[in-house]
Amino acid sequence: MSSTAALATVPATSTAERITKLEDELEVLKQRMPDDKVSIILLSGDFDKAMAAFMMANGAVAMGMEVSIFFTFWGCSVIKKGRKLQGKKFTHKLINLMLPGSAKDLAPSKMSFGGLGRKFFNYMMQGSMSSLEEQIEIAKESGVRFQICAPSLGLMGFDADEWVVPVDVCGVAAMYDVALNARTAYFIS
Amino acid sequence: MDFNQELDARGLNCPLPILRTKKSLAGLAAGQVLKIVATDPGSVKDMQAFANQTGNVLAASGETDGEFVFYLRKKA
Repeated sequence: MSSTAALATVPATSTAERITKLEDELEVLKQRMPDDKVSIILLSGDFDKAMAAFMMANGAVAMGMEVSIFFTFWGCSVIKKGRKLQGKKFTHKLINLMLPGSAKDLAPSKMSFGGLGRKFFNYMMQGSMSSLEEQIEIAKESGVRFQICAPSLGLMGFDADEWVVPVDVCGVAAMYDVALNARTAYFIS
Repeated sequence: MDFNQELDARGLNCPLPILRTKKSLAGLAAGQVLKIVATDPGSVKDMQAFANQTGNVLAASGETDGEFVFYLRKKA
């Protein structure tokens, strides 16, 4: 800050000047103070990790914090509406055929057993825990902010309208703009 | 203890009890009391943490027959 730099060279001679200097420094400190915000970066497309991300997000919202989730690479599949192949080039069709279509297709990182693992977890969670799909809906309703990685969209051939939640398509700068002001940040891989 | 509204959070698990609590508190005026009944054992620590962070007061709490009861007074 030019004002603080200038002030630092001028010796504070009076109380009024010292107060002005302190106020300027305080203003700089205030701007750099993180808020009660939580920033979650979800790289993983595993069921268990996506579940953790959304439970942490919804818990933080309940505690009165502002929450943002940035989806990148495999994490993008978590909020996909379904498998969309139409209008995509061959390589993008291929990768979209191999990726999970939506949250309900995500497999756990351990004990996947070719799709049986997820069915087993769904059965176990019935009645005692809200499903991943419900958690996503809750996060959407409670005002969690969603960002999605623009390079991932380009790489995987995703379109801007493929998501079950409203998303800001952005890059790392916009992600940092949010994350730098968050007191707590998580990277889930 | 007197209360203005009751929230039935029986059968709900983390983080639903505190989410519903937050929602219910929004409908109350400052100083009013929300009674919450939950069965999730995690809600004991969670409700205390919720109160600490949000400034609402956990005026009383207890357990009867596997049910946890909390009285939250909405902050001014």
